[in-house]
Amino acid sequence: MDDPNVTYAAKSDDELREIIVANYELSQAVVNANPKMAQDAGFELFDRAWAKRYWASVVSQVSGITTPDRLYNWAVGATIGAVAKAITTYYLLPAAAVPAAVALAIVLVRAAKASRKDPAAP
Amino acid sequence: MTTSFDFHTLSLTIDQTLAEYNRARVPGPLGLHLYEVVQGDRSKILRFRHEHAHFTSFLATGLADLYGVFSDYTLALLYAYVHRQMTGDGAAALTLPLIMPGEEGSPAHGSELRRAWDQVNNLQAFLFGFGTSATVPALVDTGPQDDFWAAHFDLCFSRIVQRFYRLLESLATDAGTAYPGGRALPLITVPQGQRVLSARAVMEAYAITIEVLNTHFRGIRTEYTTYSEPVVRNPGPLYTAAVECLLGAGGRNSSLDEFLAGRAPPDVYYLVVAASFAAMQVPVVQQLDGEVEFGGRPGALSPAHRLHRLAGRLSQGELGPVPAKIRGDREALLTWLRSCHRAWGDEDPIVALSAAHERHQSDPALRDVPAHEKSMIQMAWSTRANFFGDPNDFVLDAGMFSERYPCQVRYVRTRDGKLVALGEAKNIQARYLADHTPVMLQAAVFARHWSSTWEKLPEVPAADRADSLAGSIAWAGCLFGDAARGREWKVPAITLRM
Repeated sequence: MDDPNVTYAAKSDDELREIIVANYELSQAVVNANPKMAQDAGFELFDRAWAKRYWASVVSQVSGITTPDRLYNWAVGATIGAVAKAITTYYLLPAAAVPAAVALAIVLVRAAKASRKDPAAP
Repeated sequence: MTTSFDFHTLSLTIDQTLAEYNRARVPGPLGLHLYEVVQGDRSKILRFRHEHAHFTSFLATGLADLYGVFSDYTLALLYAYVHRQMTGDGAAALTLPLIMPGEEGSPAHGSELRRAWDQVNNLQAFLFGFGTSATVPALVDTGPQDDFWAAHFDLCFSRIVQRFYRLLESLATDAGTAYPGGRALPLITVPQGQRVLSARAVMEAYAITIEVLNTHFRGIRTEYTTYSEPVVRNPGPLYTAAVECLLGAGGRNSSLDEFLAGRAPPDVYYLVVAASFAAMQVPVVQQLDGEVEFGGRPGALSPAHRLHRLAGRLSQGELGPVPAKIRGDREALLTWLRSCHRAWGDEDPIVALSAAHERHQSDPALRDVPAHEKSMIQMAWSTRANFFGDPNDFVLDAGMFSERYPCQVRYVRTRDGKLVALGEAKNIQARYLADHTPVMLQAAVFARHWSSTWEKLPEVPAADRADSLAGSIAWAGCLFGDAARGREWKVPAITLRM
C-alpha cells in the first residue's frame, strides 16, 4: 500500500481537500473543536481560503503551541507524519482517518509556509 | 481561490480578477450579477449561482433577521470589553489585541468574556454553522452572559442585551426537544453511517441544488463552453447531510451520487430545493424599527431541527410531495410551503412576506431606497417582497431575476485582492466601517482571531490595521453614545502587538 506521506505530497490543494472532506470523522472533529470556525463563512472547509484563515488555529490546537513564531517554526519544521500524528492524537481519530489527517497536515504546512512568503500570493 | 458568500460581511468572493469581473457583469437593474456566457469558463458562473443562492436565501428566510441578533450582540459584547480597557486607570493607550494566547484563563484577562464569547460562537454554529458539540443546556444557560454583564453592563447596551436574552429564552424551550445525551442537533443515518444534521447542511442543500439545476438543466452551453472544474462536485458529507436526509424521505430512491450528477428525477430536485428553503424560513422578523419578533413553537429556530421534522413527515406521508406544477403555479407552491410551516407549528409565513410586499407598495421611502443605501433590515424586507412577487422563481432559481426591489451583496472581493463596493464612493468608507466593525473588534480583543480576521479582509494592508481598528472602535463609540457623552471621549493611541 502506498504511503500517503509520500504519495500525497504531489497532490494539488483541491485533491487534498477532496480527501479530507470525504472523511467525515476528521471533518466533524475539526469543526466541533472550533466553534468560531464552525460558524464562519466565506470559504469551503479545508480549501485554500480556509487554510489561510485557520492553519494557525488548528496547528496551535494540535501542537499546544501558542506563540506565533514558535508555531510557524513548528509547522514548517516538523515532518508531515509528525503533524498528521498530532492531528490524529488531538482529535482522537480512528486509524481509518490517517490518510485524511496526512492530507490535512500537508494543507496546513503549505499554508504556514505561504503565510510568510508573499502575502499576495494565491 | 473559490467563490464564496460570507454572511458576516455581506460579501461575495469571486474567482475573477477585477478586470474579468467588470467584463462579466452586465450593467442594469439587476446589479452585481454574473451572466451565462456563450464562450468561456462556465464553472465560475455555476459557482456564482451557488453562492448567490446562499445570499438570497439567507436574506429572504428570516436567517438574516436571526443573525442580526447575534451581530448586534457580539458588537455590544466586544465593545463593552474594549470600552472598559479604555476607561480603566491609566488607559491612555490601547495595546491590541487585548487578550493574548495563554491569558484567557484569568479574570484579569477576560475569562468571563471568553466563556460568554464561546457560548455565542457555539450558538451561531448551532443556528447557522456546521454544528456544535455543546449540549442544549449549555447552549441556553444564561450564566456565562450574566457573569460578563455583571462586570460590564451599561444602559446603552440594554436593548441589544435584552433581545439576546429573549432569544436564549426562546431557545431554552428547545431543551425539551433535545436529542439523546443533550445533543443539540439531530443525527441521521446514511449508507456510510451516522451524520450530524447541521444548519449549514440545510443551507448547502439549497445552494447545491440550485448549482446542480443550473449545471444540468439550465443555462447556455455551446461548443465554446469550457469547465475549469469537474461538472460533478461532491463537497463532502458535512455539506450533503441535508440532501441525503431528504433523499431518504422523498421515497424516490435516488442516491446522492445520482443527485449530484444531475441524474435524479426533476421532482427530487424540486423537493430538496423547496424543503430546504422552507426549513430556512425560520419564524423571525426584524421590524423596520429594529425590534425582533420570534415566533413558532419550540425547535422552530433551528433549520436543522426543522428539516429533520419535515423529512419525518414526508417519509410518513403526513406531508405531500411538492406540487406537480411547482415551477409555474404560485398558489400551489405557497400552499405547500404553508403545509410545511403548519407541521412545525409556525404562524403562516406568507403573512410576513405579504406585509413586506405591501409595505414596499405603500411606502415610497422604503420602495425607492437604492440597494447600496439599504440597511440590513431593509434588505431583508426587500428580499421578502421580491419573494412574494415571484415565489416560484425565488425558490427554484434563488431569485436570480426577482429583483423588483433592489437587493444586492454589499461587497465583491476579486481574485486579485480588489474590493468592489456597491454604491457611491463618498459613502463607501462609512458603510464599510459600519458593516465590518463587529468583525474587526474580534481581532481587537482576541489574539486567537487576529489572523483569521485579517485574512477575511485582504483589502486592509497590514500597515493600515491600527487605523482600521481605531475607526471601528470610534464607530462603536458613536453607536453606543459614548462619543456624545463628553468632549474628552476619544479613541486612545493604539499599539499593535501582533
